[in-house]
Amino acid sequence: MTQSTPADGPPPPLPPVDHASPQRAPGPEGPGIVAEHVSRAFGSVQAVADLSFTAPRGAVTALVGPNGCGKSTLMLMLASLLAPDSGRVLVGGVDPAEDSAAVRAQVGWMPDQFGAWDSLRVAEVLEVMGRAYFLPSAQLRGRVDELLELLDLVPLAQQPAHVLSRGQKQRLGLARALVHDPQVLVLDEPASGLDPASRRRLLQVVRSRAADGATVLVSSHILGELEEMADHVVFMDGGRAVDASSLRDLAARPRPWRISSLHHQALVEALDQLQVRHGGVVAGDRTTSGHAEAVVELPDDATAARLLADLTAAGARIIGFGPTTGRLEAAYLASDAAQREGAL
Amino acid sequence: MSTPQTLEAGPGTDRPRGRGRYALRWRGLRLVTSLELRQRLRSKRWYVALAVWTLVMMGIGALGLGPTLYSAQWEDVGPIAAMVFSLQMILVLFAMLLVVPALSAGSINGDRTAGTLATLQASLLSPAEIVLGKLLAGFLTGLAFLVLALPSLVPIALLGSIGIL
Repeated sequence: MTQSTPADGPPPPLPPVDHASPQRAPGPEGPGIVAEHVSRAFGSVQAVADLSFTAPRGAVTALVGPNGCGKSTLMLMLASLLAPDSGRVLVGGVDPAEDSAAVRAQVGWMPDQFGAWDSLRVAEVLEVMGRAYFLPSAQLRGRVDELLELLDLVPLAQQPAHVLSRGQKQRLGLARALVHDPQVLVLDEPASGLDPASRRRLLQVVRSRAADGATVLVSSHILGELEEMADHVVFMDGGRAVDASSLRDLAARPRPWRISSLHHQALVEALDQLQVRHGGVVAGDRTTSGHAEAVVELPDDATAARLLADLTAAGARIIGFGPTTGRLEAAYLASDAAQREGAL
Repeated sequence: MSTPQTLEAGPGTDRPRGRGRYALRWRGLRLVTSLELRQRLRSKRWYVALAVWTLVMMGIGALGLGPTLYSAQWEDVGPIAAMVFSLQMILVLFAMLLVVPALSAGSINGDRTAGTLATLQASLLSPAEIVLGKLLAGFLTGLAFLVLALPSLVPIALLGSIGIL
């Protein structure tokens, strides 16, 4: 079996696992994940405080927030490894406090820091996980082979887990989370340590799962990657959900745009003519691009499109026009959490 | 690339039946036990420990009976052999009583530190299967101490005319 490269195209979708298990969660309708006024404390530390949000099925929901805001604690509750002090979570319509086995059957959890059984080979790790989910023995081997192929782990299949690099362990962790074909994926920092090609593969796998109807909840500090991956975003701070939006709606929020021009004076005159407020035009000899640049705050993408047309008509000789940050990063940087010292 | 397969529900025995933290299924128990034993068998330190144990047992036997066999009368060997046997059995029992719980508790703690315990807990294995599986693996490991002591114990038991009961 030859090693496929990302250039070969998107990985094939995983075949569905037909458990027909009596523990399969009911309720194909409704959000995949619901958190209702959930709180959890560890001694005097309030990790999650009155948190409420929903993550729809068939979509990727990003969880964004500064370090220590409660993302991982929330994910542990969704994986039924922690019980909330108050409130409740519903995964596929099932409360883990009432039927944790039903929740665990449908949740694929990938923690941010995990271990593998170092003396076991990569293929053995997946086999152990498949057996831990009581997958039919007859087809476990095939399932393991499919996951090794999907996550580009075939060359490492017979290597002991302790020789894997961090990025390779991340891929193994994702394979582990997928072994039982979960309907809910809870991924804590899945892109951490991955090389660019592996990140593309992760994106394809996650999008593919969502397209198949799974509920995917992803937390990450790599906002640019989340923006490509997610359909919705929930911002957390201090254990609470402080904002929630679809990625599409974030385009309607203000963010800074960078304008690059071949001619410094032309850009200055065009901006003054159009009465656009800006923080000054930097000459080309002082920018990394070598072109004159200005940054303007614009309320939405539609205004940006109009400004580009107007600047071009005014003879500004525009060579580049685009947001300085992604929608997600812009929204996060505008939040209170980002303004605090030490955030992210 | 292998042809994609659709996983179908296996026969009834493959489906988890128990619910809750006290569910106990043979498949789950066997998985945890075999996982523990597999890791142990692949550890070099384990073989070193067993080798040391074997040498200690044989050393006790040799040191306890050697001088007697060399210098004493044949009829004096029996009581001394019985005494050496008792000492060895105390060591075997002591080792097993230490090894079994220490290995099991250490395994749970080690898994927790390594981050693999949470992985098992998030699966369909019940807490009972995880704990008892590790306990069973510890017990089987402790039995290894008994088995390795037999080459030393059996001859001494014969010399001391010690019956099975």
